[in-house]
Amino acid sequence: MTLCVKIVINRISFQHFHKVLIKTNTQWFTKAERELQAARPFGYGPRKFYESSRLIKAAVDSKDKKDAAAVPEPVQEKPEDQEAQKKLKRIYIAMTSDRGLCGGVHSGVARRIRREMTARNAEGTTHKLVCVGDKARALLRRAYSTSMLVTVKDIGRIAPVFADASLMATAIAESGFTYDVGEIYYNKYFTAVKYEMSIVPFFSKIRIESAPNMTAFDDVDDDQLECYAEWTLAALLYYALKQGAASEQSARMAAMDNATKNASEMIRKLTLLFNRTRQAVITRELIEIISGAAALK
Amino acid sequence: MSAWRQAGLTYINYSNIAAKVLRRSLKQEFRAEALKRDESHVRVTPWANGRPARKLFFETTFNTYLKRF
Repeated sequence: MTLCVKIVINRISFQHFHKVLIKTNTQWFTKAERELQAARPFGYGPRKFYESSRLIKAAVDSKDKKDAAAVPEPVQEKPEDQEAQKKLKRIYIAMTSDRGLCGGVHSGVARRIRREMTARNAEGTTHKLVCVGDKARALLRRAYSTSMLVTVKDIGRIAPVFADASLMATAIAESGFTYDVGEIYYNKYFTAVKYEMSIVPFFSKIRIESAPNMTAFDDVDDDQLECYAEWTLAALLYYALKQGAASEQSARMAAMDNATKNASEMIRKLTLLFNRTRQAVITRELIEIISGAAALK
Repeated sequence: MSAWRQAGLTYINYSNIAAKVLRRSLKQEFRAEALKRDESHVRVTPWANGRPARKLFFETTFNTYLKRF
């Protein structure tokens, strides 16, 4: 019976702890959502440019759910480009964080990257991986350590700033790997109960230069394209960081909520068991006393 | 080629230095809040041959230019 008491007390204090956690998480979540609003243009700007320069196919509003999370591929003008497509040097960036207890947020990203790398027969020399956050590193290290280019730590403890994205973009540029295209795998935040794994591409300066519709833009010189290519990577990383932070906080709140509900349920059941056991013991003692007294008569 | 690129800065460095100067020029009541965004707290580790390599290089190039201002 004493074990029962200890378990009940443990669960009650755990539930209280959870309630405190939920309150803190809610504050972080509202802050993350607010900062995401300001960060949205960093994602929309590059996307509009990609579509108008026809670097990627414009998104068509299709009823087909399968297209929803399709990887945006560079536009292929000629059939021989299919072969060239396979020989592109790619970077995969997994946008996660260091902290857990947030549902399937990190594993979803890792799973998708694994799927894409397997589908494209990724090898260490032409396909490189950047892990933002310890969770991605832990999930992808074993299988893809030869492809690992850069890992980033200390994400998720405080809100991300543009300086973080700048540092990461500089690290990728200075790693010496000349890529053609890259993809950032992140969780896109929709509402407090909905997030979705999404992919945003980025291109090297040479690919941007040779975009199909580049002639539509006038007076663009080499230096500007270089600046644009450098800056777009930092901007998209910042966008993905903010989206990821908001998605993660919302998923964490949902997970905490479920854990509290489960704890409440468990406390209720254990309390019932505790009371029933206590009453049974009292009844048994009473019976013993009464039968003892009756035997003496 | 721009003067700053000839000096070895990338556009990201250039943009961050300009942002830093702008934050420093804000009025007192907005300054403290903005200065928090000046610093990056992430740690970047390059990998080579499937293992983490020495990480000194990137932090110095990015932060060197930034700290001069």
